[in-house]
Amino acid sequence: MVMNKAQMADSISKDEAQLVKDLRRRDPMAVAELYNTYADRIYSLVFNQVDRNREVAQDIVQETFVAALKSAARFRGHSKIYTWLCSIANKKVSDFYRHQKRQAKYQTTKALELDQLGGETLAADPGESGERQEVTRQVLFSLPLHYRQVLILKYVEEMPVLEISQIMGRSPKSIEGLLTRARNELRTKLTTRSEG
Amino acid sequence: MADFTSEDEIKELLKSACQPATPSPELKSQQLQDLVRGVGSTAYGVTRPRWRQPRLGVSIAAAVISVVIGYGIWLGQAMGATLVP
Repeated sequence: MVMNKAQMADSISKDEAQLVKDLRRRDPMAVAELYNTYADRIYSLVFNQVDRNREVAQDIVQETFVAALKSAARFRGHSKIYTWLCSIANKKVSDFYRHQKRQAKYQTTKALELDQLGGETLAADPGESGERQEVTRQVLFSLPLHYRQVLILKYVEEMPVLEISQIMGRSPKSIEGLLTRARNELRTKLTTRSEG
Repeated sequence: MADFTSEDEIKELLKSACQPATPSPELKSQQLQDLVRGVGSTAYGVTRPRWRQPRLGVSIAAAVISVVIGYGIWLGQAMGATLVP
């Protein structure tokens, strides 16, 4: 497969290529390096996609790294390692909602779970900004999963469209369209909430 | 709340709603141990194409050798038959 300039710029660095080589050799030090470098970022990404459910996020992070180790031999280095891991994590999140059919359940019980789990997330600020965070969170979690994923990758992870397209397995053009629809939906719901 | 028209405002809203979170150190340590243990066993073995898997490769090689030998025998008999006056 021939890479274009943008893809070349976004492809793997020498250090990352060495890490992937070591992963293919199943070197435990390479596994530790991969995990220690990316576990926090992948956890945070997943955590924000699964309605901030800690247990689900932990399971999905574990599955993501296991899948990455299993498929290291097939990783061709056309994207950064983080992009590759994000793409696996995104698929795992989609699988979670598709196969377990828990989306509705988690949306309706989210408030209860947050109370029970408490813990490691940064607590919402009290007062107006805390309320705004909570409303935004509720609206975000009420969006379809692919809208939520694209918005988080674009605005929270601050990834360029090309990288998002690699993660979501769509063309950059399709990602731009998806982003527009997701933004519009978010705006509409936020406006409705702020007016109501 | 504002009218959410600007990109910056959406970014600010989403960033504040989706603040970074980290797993507990105990969990990370446990997960890492599991991964390293898995890599040490055959659990995360390199996936080879089916035709490169040893058992299948041996079977295919045996089949090819049998066909070659069989063809040789058949050819020998056929040639022998044509040479008979």
